Amino acid sequence: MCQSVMHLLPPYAYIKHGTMSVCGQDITNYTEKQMRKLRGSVVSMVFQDPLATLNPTIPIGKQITEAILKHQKVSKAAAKARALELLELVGIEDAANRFDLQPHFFSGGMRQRCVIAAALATNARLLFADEATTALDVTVKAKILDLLLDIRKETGVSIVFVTHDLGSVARIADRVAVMYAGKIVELGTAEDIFYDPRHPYTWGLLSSLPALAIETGMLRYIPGMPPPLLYPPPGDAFAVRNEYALAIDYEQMPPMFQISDTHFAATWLLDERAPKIEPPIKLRERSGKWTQI
Amino acid sequence: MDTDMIIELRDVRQYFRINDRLTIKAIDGISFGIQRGEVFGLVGETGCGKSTVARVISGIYHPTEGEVLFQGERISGRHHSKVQAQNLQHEMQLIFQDSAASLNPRMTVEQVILEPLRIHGRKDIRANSKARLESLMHDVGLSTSFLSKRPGELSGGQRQRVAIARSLILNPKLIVADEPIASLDISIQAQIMTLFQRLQRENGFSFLFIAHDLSVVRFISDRIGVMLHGKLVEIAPTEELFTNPIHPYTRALLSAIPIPDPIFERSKTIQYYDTKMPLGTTMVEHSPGHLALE
Ligand SMILES: Nc1ncnc2c1ncn2[C@@H]1O[C@H](COP(=O)(O)OP(=O)(O)OP(=O)(O)O)[C@@H](O)[C@H]1O
Ligand SMILES: [Mg+2]
Repeated sequence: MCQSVMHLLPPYAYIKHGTMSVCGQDITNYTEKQMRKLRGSVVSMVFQDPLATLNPTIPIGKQITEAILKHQKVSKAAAKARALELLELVGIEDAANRFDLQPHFFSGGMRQRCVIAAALATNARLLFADEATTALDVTVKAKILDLLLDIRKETGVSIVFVTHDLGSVARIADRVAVMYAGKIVELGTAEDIFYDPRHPYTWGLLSSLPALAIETGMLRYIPGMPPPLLYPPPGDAFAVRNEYALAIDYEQMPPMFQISDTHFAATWLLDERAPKIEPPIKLRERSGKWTQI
Repeated sequence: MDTDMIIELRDVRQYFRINDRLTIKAIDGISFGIQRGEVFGLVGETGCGKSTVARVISGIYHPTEGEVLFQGERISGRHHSKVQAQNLQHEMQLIFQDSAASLNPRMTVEQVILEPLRIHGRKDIRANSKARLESLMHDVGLSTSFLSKRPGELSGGQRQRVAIARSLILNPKLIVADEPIASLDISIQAQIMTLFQRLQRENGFSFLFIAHDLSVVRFISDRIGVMLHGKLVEIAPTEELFTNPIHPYTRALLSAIPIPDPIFERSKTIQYYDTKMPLGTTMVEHSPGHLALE
């Protein structure tokens, strides 16, 4: 989804319905040239795969300095100083000595931090972080989450944080969208999603958290695998993996049902004719009882 | 010589000399062993040297100092023979984060899984490879119809299953897995972890499991080692480590584990650890098998 907003998809990818806007501007049909201006100045991305973002032949420090020079009107020396500051900010140890090293001298997680530093260098108003903290250890992850929150407080930047890690979502997100097979299946505040989830896929995700397996020694998981996006099945794409699926799920895509002002979910279970199902996961009752997972 | 140990590291150091000013001490004096049939979890800060430990154990790097013993025999240093190296390669298998991505795209799944047999010329296993192949596919939860497919036709989780099947074909005594589930869809991560747990119990191989997700490491491991700056700062049986962490870095690590509970998580203060603090110099045993650097 991030790639689509950034217009980074290959030419055969196209938008079927709907519009996208950034800061009030409809960008659905932006040209490549308009987009180039937008990328970096308004939106900035942090990718999952640092090797795809970093140039392997250019020293890390230089890459970040260049990112700063491209987006901000500062002197070269100031940019260099800021680059070093950013590398220290994201926790690169010995940053001054590593400034002139190429990416392959860094461990996977360190490269990831460098990419985050490069994204911060642009002073963007909208930051896309796509699996930006996946390869990081929990202390660095927590530091980067807190760093993003601090930066938001200071600059008012909006952040779209794409991740598999529900713990990080709980720490950083005001609102959460749960996606399955290319669609948003549930949308709400973090409280809505964690304490009052309504979509069976959200139930499955929350139930398969290893943190919950500690007491039982058993890890629950959602059977099967995501459908190919190329040939989506008719009806609800999640139906075949959904133990609560109704007959209609195999025929007709569920609409978005509104649960409250903030909370929406696309599942036929919310239709008034559907049987009432007790959610199998109750994180609200555990709330606060997590002394040490 | 303790032959209960499948692998043992004795004061291993792995330095990388970058230039005149900078030598990176990726591993800076590490000693630990993994017992037969044991699952050992290795966690620690980004860049602390976990992958380097995996590479040293698997013979990809020759440590600058110290020695590595496999079943009591020294395998580090350039002195060990080619035969020994070959033996080692099929008694030990590696699974990396990108193993799934790096499967040869031109081979069929069957060829991918059988490749280690071909490389090692193990005729004894090859003779009944068809039956072995089928039982392996069953073990990793893939139907045999996948055998004729190519990696490009599979999902990430399916490819990782193929990589796991491939690592099992030679019946290894030790499997080293470096972040094996990090790149998978979350619903698939739990599937693969359950698979690892079952396969390990059924086959009894020793397992070095490296990951960032401490809840996952806790789920699978018998014992856990915590690394920082190329050193082990704490080592303990799993539940002992979680209930009674001693080294300040371990405490910081445990306090930072993200919890799926927004109200709790937002108000939680993490005990950050100043990584410039001295780590300690000697390992002190606090209770049986629970050691921390002081
Ligand atoms: N071949 C190499 N040449 C130079 N430096 C290296 C090499 N391999 C690793 N390093 C350095 O050694 C240190 C440890 O790296 P390693 O990859 O083992 O860390 P890690 O614990 O696996 O980190 P991560 O959690 O990010 O994967 C890092 O500082 C890294 O830059
Ligand atoms: Mg690593």
